[in-house]
Amino acid sequence: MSTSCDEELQNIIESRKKIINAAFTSSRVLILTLLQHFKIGIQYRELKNTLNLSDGNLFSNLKNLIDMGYIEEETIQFDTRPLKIYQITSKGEKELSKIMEWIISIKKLIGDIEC
Amino acid sequence: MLDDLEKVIAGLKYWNLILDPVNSYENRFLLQKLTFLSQSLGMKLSYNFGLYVAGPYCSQLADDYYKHSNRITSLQTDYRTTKKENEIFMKIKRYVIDRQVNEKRMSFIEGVATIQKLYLDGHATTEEELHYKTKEIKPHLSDYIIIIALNAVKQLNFKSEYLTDELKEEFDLWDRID
Repeated sequence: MSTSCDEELQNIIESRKKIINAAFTSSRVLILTLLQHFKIGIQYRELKNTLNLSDGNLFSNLKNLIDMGYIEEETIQFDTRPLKIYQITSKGEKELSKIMEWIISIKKLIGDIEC
Repeated sequence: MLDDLEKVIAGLKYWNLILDPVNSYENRFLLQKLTFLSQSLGMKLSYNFGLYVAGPYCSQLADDYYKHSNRITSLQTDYRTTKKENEIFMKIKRYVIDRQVNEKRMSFIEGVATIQKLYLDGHATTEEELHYKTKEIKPHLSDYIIIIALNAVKQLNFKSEYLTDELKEEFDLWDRID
């Protein structure tokens, strides 16, 4: 591997430290991605139906993301019934962006592996 | 996409709907579904709606209303609607917005938009298929809501040229039944 590849690899190792471990599980990255796309907000039941997670699993992931300040929960009236909706915060957007950049740098390294 | 948003605001004006999409989930939801229905019935808009967890949804439209929220809340537009566009708005008002559904208005609109998208994208063609697919995507919608939403979709897509003499005769017969 040439020096430039070494540098890229070093960058990947270094930038990994910037990502918060607790946000970097497949379920949490997926929740953040969904909320980033659906700026309208997503209902709890829609998340559950899409991710196919148990209530316990989904609830604990959402709670962790709320505690980290990456998403917000709001109870609204929908057809006169209370309904929980979730939206990503700017802090969550920044964290997701860091994760995406990290994944892109890995992809780049793998693409450049022959260098 | 300000040109598109101008048309969307013209629709809201027609329906006399003052929405606050930035602060209300229900208003954002309504704006997405009504815009999708307008576009699906022939209004020229360049929004690209996908069928996702929340039914038809377009992120460009979301960007537009976050960027120009004050225009929406004040119904500010200079756009002059065409006769065809007014007919589309009238249909949506008649069969969707003004439809009486006991405390289930949003679910009904969610059902109508989802069924219309499924139908237009060719995911299902018969009533049974549409019902089944809708239930699969939206398990929280009751059978009652899906049935009345299906009827609304039929009414929305009905064109006057479909009204043959034979059909007219049958409708007249039903109208005289009292």
